[in-house]
Amino acid sequence: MADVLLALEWLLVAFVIIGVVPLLVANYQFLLVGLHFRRLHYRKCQPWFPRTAILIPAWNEQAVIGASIDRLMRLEYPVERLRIYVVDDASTDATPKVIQAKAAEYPGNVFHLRRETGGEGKAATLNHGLGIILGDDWMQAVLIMDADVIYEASSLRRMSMHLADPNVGSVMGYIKEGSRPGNYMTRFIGYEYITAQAAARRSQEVLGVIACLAGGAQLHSRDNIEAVGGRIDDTTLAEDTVTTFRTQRAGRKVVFEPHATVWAEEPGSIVGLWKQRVRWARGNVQVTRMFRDVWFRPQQGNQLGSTSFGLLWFCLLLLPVFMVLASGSLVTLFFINYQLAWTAFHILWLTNVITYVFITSFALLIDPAVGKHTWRQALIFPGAINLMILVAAVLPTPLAWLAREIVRAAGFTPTPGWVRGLELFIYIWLAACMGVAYLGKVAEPSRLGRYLSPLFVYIGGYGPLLCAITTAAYVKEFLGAEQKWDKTEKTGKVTAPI
Amino acid sequence: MTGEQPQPTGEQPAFPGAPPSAPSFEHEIRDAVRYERGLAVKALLAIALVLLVLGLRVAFFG
Repeated sequence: MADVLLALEWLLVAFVIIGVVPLLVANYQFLLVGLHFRRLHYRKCQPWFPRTAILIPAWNEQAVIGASIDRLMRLEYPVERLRIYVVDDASTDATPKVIQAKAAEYPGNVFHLRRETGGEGKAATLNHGLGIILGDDWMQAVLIMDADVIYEASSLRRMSMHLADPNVGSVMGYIKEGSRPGNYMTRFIGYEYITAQAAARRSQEVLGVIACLAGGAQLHSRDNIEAVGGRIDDTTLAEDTVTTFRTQRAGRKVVFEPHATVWAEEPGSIVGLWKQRVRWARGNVQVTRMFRDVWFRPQQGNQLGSTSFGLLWFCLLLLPVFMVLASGSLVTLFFINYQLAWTAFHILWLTNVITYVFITSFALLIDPAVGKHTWRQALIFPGAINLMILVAAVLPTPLAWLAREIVRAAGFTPTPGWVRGLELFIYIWLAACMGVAYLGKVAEPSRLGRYLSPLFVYIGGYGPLLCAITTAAYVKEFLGAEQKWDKTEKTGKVTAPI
Repeated sequence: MTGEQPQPTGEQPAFPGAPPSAPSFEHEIRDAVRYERGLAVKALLAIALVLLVLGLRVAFFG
């Protein structure tokens, strides 16, 4: 019996330590960013201006499409080498009229492609446009973008210069959150995009593999689009990722150009974020299944099967599992070997401190302009309570004193039982923070939601909210929920603020 | 693919019709490379901050 208990204890410790793996992988990923200068593609670049078809899927985009077309026509790019194809996905608002007016204003540059039956998703809309664009040989490259995004004047040419290298199939720009004045949610996303775009894409380039082209800023050579079948995958919710994987499996390089800045409007509410991210996360689960022959199986010509890339992919995809596993193991261990639980927790949490300090400080330095606008959200990214636990791990004595004083001020006497209760709460919180962040979504539509939902996100954490969303995506995939294209609502509040 | 061919000598304009005062293509590339090299220094700064935090933790609280 004693042996069984001992084995169980060490199994639980192992589960907690497994929770350290995604943290170590996150640190590894950020360390690679520092090596990005060794893998730059600029040596093979030159000023390069292929005839580019800009493909814009549009459904009820009357608020943004006119201004988007005007800005595209002001790009630092030879105007005779640009054609803008707006695929109007059976819009019911004034979108067709706006596009037709722009087609008249820019004859030979702007084209209105109308689908009478819409709502089949972005991929179907893009495929309608691709079918027409590939119908003649004018197009040498295609830029796939969203209707609302703002390209800085130099962005397209900074992307197209990489296509001077025939080995490059696709190039992506750096998407930044551009809602102004924005709110707490758009600032969280703004910071998240430094980590998920500016940092993650650089580290992936160092590894020689890109996980996903940004939906709003991807430039493909004609050869590449034809090599991946001349159409965008419409069987999953992650068409951009499928295109990225297929491009690399076909032996072509995908390049991230961090100095081609594109501003996008991202959701300003939890409900909006939830819809968008459940779609993305479900897409990732589908891609994991679709490319099951790729993972951890090195292949010639691409790095999709490398161990490093597999670790990056699965640590992100399975993060909620790691969190629940660590939390559940600590709680169980607490009741069977209190001291061992405390030791395992220390290892986990000190790794967390290192990860938090390194990633937060480095991310803010990677893009200081966005960091200046989002540093508060960067600090509180893990949530207020997790942040307190992180501080307690660094400053245990002052925090223990503070906790005792708070308990005394509340009229209670701190006892060892209180301390143990607090420790148990912390172990539970490792997973429960996702639930609290989820309450933000539940509270948002209510009358007090305006105040309550940010409060829940600040307490539970934006990171845990993303994990809650991933969990919801697992559930939807497991239950085989309907695969619906929930378009992210755009209001035209995006600007190029910096 | 046929894009515009690069000019044979000297620094090239970043795009056709660029004003003479605009940075050349090579200048933009140098700026971008400098920025990327700067990230290595920033990574070291972030590591230094981690070491500082850990050092304080060990020095004052064991």
